[in-house]
Amino acid sequence: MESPPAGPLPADVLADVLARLAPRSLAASRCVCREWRAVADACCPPLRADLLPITLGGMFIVTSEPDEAPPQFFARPSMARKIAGGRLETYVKMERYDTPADIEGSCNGLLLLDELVVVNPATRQWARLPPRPASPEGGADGFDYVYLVFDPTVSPHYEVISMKNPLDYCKGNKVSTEEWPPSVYVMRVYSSETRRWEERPFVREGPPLEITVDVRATLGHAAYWHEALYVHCTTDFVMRITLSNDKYQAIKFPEGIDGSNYYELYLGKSKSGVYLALVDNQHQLQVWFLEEFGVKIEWVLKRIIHLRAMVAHFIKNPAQTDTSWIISRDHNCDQENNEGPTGEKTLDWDSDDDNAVEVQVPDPNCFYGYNQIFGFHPYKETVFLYLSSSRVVAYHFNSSKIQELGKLRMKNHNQMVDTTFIYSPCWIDELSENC
Amino acid sequence: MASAGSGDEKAAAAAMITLISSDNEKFEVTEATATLSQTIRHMIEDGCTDGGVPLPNVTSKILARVIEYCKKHATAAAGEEGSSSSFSDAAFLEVDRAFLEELEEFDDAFLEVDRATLFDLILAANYLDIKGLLNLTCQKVADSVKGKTPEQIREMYNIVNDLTPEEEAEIRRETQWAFE
Repeated sequence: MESPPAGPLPADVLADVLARLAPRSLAASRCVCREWRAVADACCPPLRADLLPITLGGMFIVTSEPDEAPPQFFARPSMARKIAGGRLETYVKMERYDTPADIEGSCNGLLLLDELVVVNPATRQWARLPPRPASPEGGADGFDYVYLVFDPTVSPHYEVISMKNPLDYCKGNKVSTEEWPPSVYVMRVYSSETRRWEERPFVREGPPLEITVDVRATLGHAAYWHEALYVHCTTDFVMRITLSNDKYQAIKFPEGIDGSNYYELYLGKSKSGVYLALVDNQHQLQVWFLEEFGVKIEWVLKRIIHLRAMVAHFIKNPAQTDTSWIISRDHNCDQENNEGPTGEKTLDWDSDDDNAVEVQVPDPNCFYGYNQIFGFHPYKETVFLYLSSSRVVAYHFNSSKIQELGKLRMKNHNQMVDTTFIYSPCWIDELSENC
Repeated sequence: MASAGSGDEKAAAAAMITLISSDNEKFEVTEATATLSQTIRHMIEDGCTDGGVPLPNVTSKILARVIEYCKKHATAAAGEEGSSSSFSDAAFLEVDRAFLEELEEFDDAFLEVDRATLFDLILAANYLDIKGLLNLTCQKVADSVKGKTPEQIREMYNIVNDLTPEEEAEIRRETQWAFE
């Protein structure tokens, strides 16, 4: 039976409804009609974009042993000051004696440290998660990888997913690898809303994949986009995990790309979704975009460029601007308190204007050296690279422009960059309540 | 006589109130059920419920649903008081939890209604000042809006967009991050 259209909600009730919305939904609601906008503006706290993790702050850099240094924060000086140099070890109390905190993951302004500590470097709030319950039967095999999921524009709560790599998972649970990846994948999920760990079976969507014979199984970088977590399984696929409906999907790498064979491969979130950057065996940087139309998902090659072209450019143009990114601990960033979201803006890096140049043709005589992918700009089609000669550069793969961010010098020759986490500051005081 | 000052709690709990819907249908409910509505509670306190309580803003169809909700939650409230005053051993806690789960299931099933009914329930809950029901139904609307575009929200709730294209563009500019 067709019911008659409902009349509008009274303003006080509408205010009650809108007050329950997270920032993203409230912003959409303001755009519905005049009444909704008026009620939202009158009754809800203003949408403070400056508090949300929607700008690039910098990157946390984890270096490998033997020098067990704490993670370093690489950013514009102004940003480094705002978040007190990113020196986690000065305020996060780790239980393990004498070892600096290691970063395991980052998502929209929060970092996940080892020992299951979640920290917001902008507000300096941190929380230790309760220990994980024993893993599913036979779960002793292999290492547990943890991933952080957080988007304060959608929900004030965060989640942490703990999972085995697919091979260990199958082995530990005596699941046949005939169907690959497994049709049900049990993971442990912590929610800051319930403050509990929960064992959750994720059901695979889509057809199984053909198993590659010699898979090297670890898990790599992850990206969080539109409420799905994309995990790079160095076996042979990207796993898309949807927490809202307990489903997961295995997405094969682009044709001809073997996910276990590239050392330099970075899965990340950028302007329009999930991207993949890799350095192929011809020293070319390939940038792929994961295009999703409903159930249809495919990789699209956005750009391919020879790294020699970039390196050659910087040998010829050694100039640096005075607003270079720095490792803040090298300088004096002794403020005890973080400055908060506002502050001087003039010195901030503008990826559209600052010293960007177009990359010329590669110079075949140029020494190519060692290069590393540092990640994607979260909101611009830009990939960050660490070129030999210690330069960190931003490559805008749409315009093919490149610019230098600054120099990142290691303490000695043995120290290497292990991994990097792109960081967007989030100034919402949320963590202490939800820890 | 259902005076609260009588001292006979059993008699007070058993006291019946008559609610009269906009289409003149009469519903007999216990005072415990009726007083989940602050509006009715005040009327009872003021002693103006003799001859029934007319509710000109609520149809019989909606009033029946509202009463169904209030009965269930009045029982829950009575159950809670009962268990907290008695000894609280594990068995009782278990019963409590089962009861809360059942209540949650009831609420979920209760909200399985079309949009027009949901809105009517909200209006009734607002008018009758039933906090639990208003909370439940407002959350349902909020959940339905979550993750939707402005176009989808308008379609879902039959809302006419009276913003000019310029105004709409301006709103989107103000919070561009939310539309990416």
